[in-house]
Amino acid sequence: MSHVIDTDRAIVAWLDAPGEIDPPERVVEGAIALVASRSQRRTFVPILRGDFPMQTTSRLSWTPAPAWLLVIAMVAALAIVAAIAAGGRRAPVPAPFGLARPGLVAFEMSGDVIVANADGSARRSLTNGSATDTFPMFSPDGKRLAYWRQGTSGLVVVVGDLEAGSWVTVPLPAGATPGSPAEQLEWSPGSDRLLFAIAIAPSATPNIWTLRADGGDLHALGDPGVYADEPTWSPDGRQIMYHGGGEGPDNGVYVMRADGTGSKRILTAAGSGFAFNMSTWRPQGDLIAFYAGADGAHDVYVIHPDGTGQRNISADHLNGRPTDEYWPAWSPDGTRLAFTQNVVRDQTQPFYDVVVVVDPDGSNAVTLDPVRAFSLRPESRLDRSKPIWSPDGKAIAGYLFNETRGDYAIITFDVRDGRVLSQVDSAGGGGLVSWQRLAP
Amino acid sequence: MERGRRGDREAYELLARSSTRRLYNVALRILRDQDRAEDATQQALVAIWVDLPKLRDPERFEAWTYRLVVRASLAEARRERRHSTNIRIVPGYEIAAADHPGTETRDELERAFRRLSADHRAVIVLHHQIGLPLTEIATILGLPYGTVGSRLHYGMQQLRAALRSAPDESRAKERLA
Repeated sequence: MSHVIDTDRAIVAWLDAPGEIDPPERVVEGAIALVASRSQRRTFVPILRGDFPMQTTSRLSWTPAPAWLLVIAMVAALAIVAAIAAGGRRAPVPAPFGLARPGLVAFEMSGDVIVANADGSARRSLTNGSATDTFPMFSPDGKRLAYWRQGTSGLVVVVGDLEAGSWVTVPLPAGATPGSPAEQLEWSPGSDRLLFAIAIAPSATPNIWTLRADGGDLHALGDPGVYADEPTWSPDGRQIMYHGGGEGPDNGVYVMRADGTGSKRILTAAGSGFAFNMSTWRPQGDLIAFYAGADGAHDVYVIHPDGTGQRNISADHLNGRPTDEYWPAWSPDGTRLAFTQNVVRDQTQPFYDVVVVVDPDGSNAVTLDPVRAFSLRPESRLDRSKPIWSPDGKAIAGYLFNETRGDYAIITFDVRDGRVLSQVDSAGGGGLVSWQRLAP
Repeated sequence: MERGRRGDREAYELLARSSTRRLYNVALRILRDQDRAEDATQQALVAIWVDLPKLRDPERFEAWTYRLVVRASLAEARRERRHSTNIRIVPGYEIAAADHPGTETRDELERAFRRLSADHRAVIVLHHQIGLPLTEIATILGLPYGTVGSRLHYGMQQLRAALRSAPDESRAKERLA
């Protein structure tokens, strides 16, 4: 044994022989020059959860309760399930939501906004130049598009009519940055306003802002001292849901009136700093889907906007291994809910994503594994982007990452079996795909 | 960190400048080539900017950047295999070999280390030079703990064998220890 120790000590000494070496200044200067023309990849990745799937995490524990409590809990759970199931099948979908005809997809590629048909045809770049244009979002009526532009003059919102080619740029206050890495420009149900969060230096606390689609009436909403990002309107436009509390103990999903008053944390689920991003409102308006829990073991929940009926709906284990579920997305008609599931499946794929589609109560789960279905392993994997439904509810779009080439493609796959329907190159892309809704 | 995540380039520059030396030395030890280490470091620094919005836990920044530089080094190593004639020995190692006795032993170790795959080298560097525990390396590299352990075991076995095959093992150990 001591022979091995001596040998290892000698090897380590050899490894250490040169000591710390200073890199040439050109290394960091070159990197800084390179990033000047690069946009940040605003994918919705809870980085340490996804990148460190093996890390030991604390799990939410269950404590045995007396039998009568269990009976009450089961009855309550059945009532909730019945209510959710009834809601899922009967609640009407208000305009402009519901199924629609798929139009263009919009996405970011190397700091420019690209639009194309979902099969990759008719591809064109809407922007060019040195500014970084990210997060394009089609309006619910499919007529307008909005995106962030980060240039030398600061952060601006660009909004316009795709057909007419008329665009308005709205400068935001000096020092503004998007409220979160996944901050989108959210359209109002009537396609006439935008909602978003920004942090204004030197403050790092994001607040909610809104403006009209014609560029006017820019103003903040809510308490400026309160951390608030990723806001979305309720389908009837009367309320706003947002991610509040930062990564502290108040971290959670909040709902307030559309004028910014009456803010309330609606859930009781606990979550790590990675939880509660990209919560989503069911088109019927009766449920909100979010994810909570410990890092590496998040679960997807639904809850009524008034804070009642909180329910964990995601399957939590696969072959005895903990899985991580996040980024729920409602189908356009609100009958199904898709979310991303991250799982360590085998020794050759350190982490791996699939998309799971369930009913609003978590039943009838279908696991979609387009990478396996398309024989894209081992070099490719879904890159943990939020599932994006096609307006007709028949397909889901996501990002495919090629490990060998280090680039991305957008794939669309069938919600029934994960069969890949199309693949669109988006090297250097990331962020979110927006799918245009056209009249059915 | 928070400003950098939100796209503040000045904040990024501070992060990059404070990380470059640490990342460069990891890349240099994995790749054994100054030019390729510079390239890998630069790729990692760019990746920090591009992917910084993904980083939610500032306390994990250092570990996260190790992952980026190891990944960039592995990519460089793949290119290295395709252009193996361009490999240059790290100048620091050349000096060490030239100025000290036991040159044959050092050369033997150098050759054995280069024969290892970059994946094996990365584990050895992270464990024996950076001093990270295997559990941490497993999380950084996104690998099962057992895989990291076996890579370390195999890599060290090869290096031990190289040391034993040097002309005078006991003398070599004495010099190097």
